[in-house]
Parts: sequence; structure tokens; C-alpha cells
Amino acid sequence: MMKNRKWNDSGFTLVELLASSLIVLIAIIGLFVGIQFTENQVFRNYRIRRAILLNSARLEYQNFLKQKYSTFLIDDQRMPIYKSSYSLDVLANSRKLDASFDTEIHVSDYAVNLNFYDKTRITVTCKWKEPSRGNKEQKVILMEDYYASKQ
Amino acid sequence: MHLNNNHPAGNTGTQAPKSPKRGIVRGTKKWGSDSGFSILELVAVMVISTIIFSATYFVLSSFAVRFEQLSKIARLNEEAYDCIMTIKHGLAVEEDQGGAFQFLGLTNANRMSLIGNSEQVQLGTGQYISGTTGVFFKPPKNSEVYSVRDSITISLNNRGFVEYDANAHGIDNYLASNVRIFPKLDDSDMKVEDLLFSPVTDIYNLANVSDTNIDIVRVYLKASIDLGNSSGGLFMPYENPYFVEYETFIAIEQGLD
Repeated sequence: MMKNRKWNDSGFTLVELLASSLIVLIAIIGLFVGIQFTENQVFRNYRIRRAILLNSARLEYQNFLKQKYSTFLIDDQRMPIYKSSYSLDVLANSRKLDASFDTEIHVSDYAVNLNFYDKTRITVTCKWKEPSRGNKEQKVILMEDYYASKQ
Repeated sequence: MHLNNNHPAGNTGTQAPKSPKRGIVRGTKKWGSDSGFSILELVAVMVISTIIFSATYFVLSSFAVRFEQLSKIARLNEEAYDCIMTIKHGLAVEEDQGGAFQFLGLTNANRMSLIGNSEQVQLGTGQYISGTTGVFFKPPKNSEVYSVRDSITISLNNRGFVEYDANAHGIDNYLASNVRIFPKLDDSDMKVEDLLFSPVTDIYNLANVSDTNIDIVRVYLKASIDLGNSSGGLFMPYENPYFVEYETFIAIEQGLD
């Protein structure tokens, strides 16, 4: 009797149908969330890379000033990158995403094996409200240290 | 005494004999109900199945298209950023027969000047900048092998590629001669829209900015990629072609001895 019987005669119930539909739905939602996450990450990475290069531009300019004029300079309107605000990206609704920049110079003492140096740390910070993180603040910080022997 | 043939223990008086009709039906039935299904049921099932399969196909194909577009955008970002980094730090160029290598890029160049076509472009911010499509520079002074006769050019060539060409001792067949740095593949759907090198204003010496001996240069790169199918299905379509813009400054270490 069991040998001849290949299929259950009773079919499936509505609850079983709902359960299987739910599983398929969860799988599709999982794919959707994965795509959305990837999309957010791709555009966030683009903004971070742009911010790194723009921060680097500010550090390079300080490096140029140091080499040529032995000085550092911040917040001078004659500087080509003086603008404290910059459009980092254009969002889907054509809204520009602005980033703000801040440059700080901090001088401190530094000693190695009884040799004393003036350590100058230049910190450039780029900040913006990251749309992929619910408009939370995103920061990219680049630092460069310069050492000069104490006279 | 009457014995029941259907029961080995005989008729106990409490158990009814099995129905012969029921046994026959169960033994011969293989598939569901004998009644089958009506044409109406068949049509209803086909309509519902078609709707479900179409919706599933639409959703999954939207995901596939979106995934493909995102991977193209990610690849464009990566290669464009790598291009800027290569312009800044250089490629590993063979230093001598001994197999030693040295990175030669703008950041450790001895002297730099602009070459190529002059152009003016408008940035995404609306600002206009002008410059040239290439740069020519000398290896660093501290290089043990490279001499003043050697040179490197990075430029946007007439085929639309950013190219790195190291010319050592007047011979243009070294390891890093005519190396494509962006886009890296021939069949790539990426395109360089603009590559611009422009001297950065020296705030203390405004009148003396020249194209032949530059201390700090602005590098601007705009690139695009063809996303193919512009519709993302379930999603908002991306701009097609998709553009990225990168810019930075690179200071030349002229004092490096």
C-alpha cells in the first residue's frame, strides 16, 4: 500500500501556503536590504574619497607654504582653498551636499634621546551630514606632523 | 461456533469486520481526488501563477540591474581614485638592472611643467578652472640612477586614456613606458571626461605663476561610466552616464636632495 502512494492526498493548508509565502517574502526583502545597503555604502565611499582628497589638498598647501616660506597659514582669504564650505556631492533630488572644512595648527614640544623638537601638527577636518546614516555627522580627519630642532 | 475469516483470532464479538469496499479503494488510488479540476480552477491558477511569477521576475531582475549598476559605479570610483593616487605617488619604475624599483610621481618630482592641450572646465561647484591635459616632470634628485636627462609624463592621450610614460636615459622602453593608468581595461565602458593640471596660486607671489616651473599643482579628474540599462526597475534610475569628480593639490618636493 505505501509503495504505491507517492503523494499525500491531503494537499497543503492555507497556513502552510502563508508560511511559504512569508519565507519567500523575507528572502526578497533580504535581497532588497542588501542592495540598499550596498548603494548607501558606494555613495558614502565616494564622498569619503572626495573628502580625503580635498583634505589632502589643504595639507599639501601647508606643505608648500612651509617649503617655500617656512611658515604655515590658515584662514587667509587669499588662499585658493580658503572656502570653508564646499559641495561634496549632488544627491538624487539635485540637492547639493555641502561639507565644511576646518584647519587647526597645534605646536608642542617633542623629545627623543635628549634631542628636543618643536612639533607642529596640522589637522584638517571635513564634516558633512551623511544621508546614508540618517543625516548624522560624518567626519574625515587628516593630520600631518612637522618636526623642527629647537634652536 | 462461527469463525470470521477476516480475523486470525476469530470473531471476538466486539470488533466489526473491515469494509471490503474501503480496502479496495485505498489499494488502487494513486493520485488525489478522482474528480480532477474544472476549467475555471485551471484558469484561476494560471492567472495567479502568472502574476506571482511576473512579480518575482520583475523584482529579481530589478535587483540584478541595480547590482550591476552599483558595481560599475564602485569600479569607476576605485579606478578614478587610484588614478589620482598614481599621479601623486607614481608607479614603481625600474631603477637599475639589479631589479630595484622606485616610485616616481609628482610628490617627489624634482621639477614639473605643464604640457598638452589647454582647456577650461566647469566644476560641479560652478567654478571654472583652466589648465592643461598633461604634466612633465623630472625624477627626484636623490635618485641614484635617474639623471637630469630622464623624464616622466602623465597625460590624457588622444585615445582618451590617462597614460604614464617614464623616459629613462633617452630610451622609451623601460618598464613604465606608456602604461595606461585609467581606465585600465581596453573594453572598459569608462571614459575620462576631463583631466586638468593647473598651477595653484602662490598667495605671496601672484605675478610669478608660470607653467614651466610649478611648486604646487591642482589635479582635476572627471570620469564617467555607461550604466547600460538606465532603468533600475523598482528603483529610481541613476544618471546615465554616471559621473565622478575628484580634485586635489599636489606640492612638489623641489628641495629634496
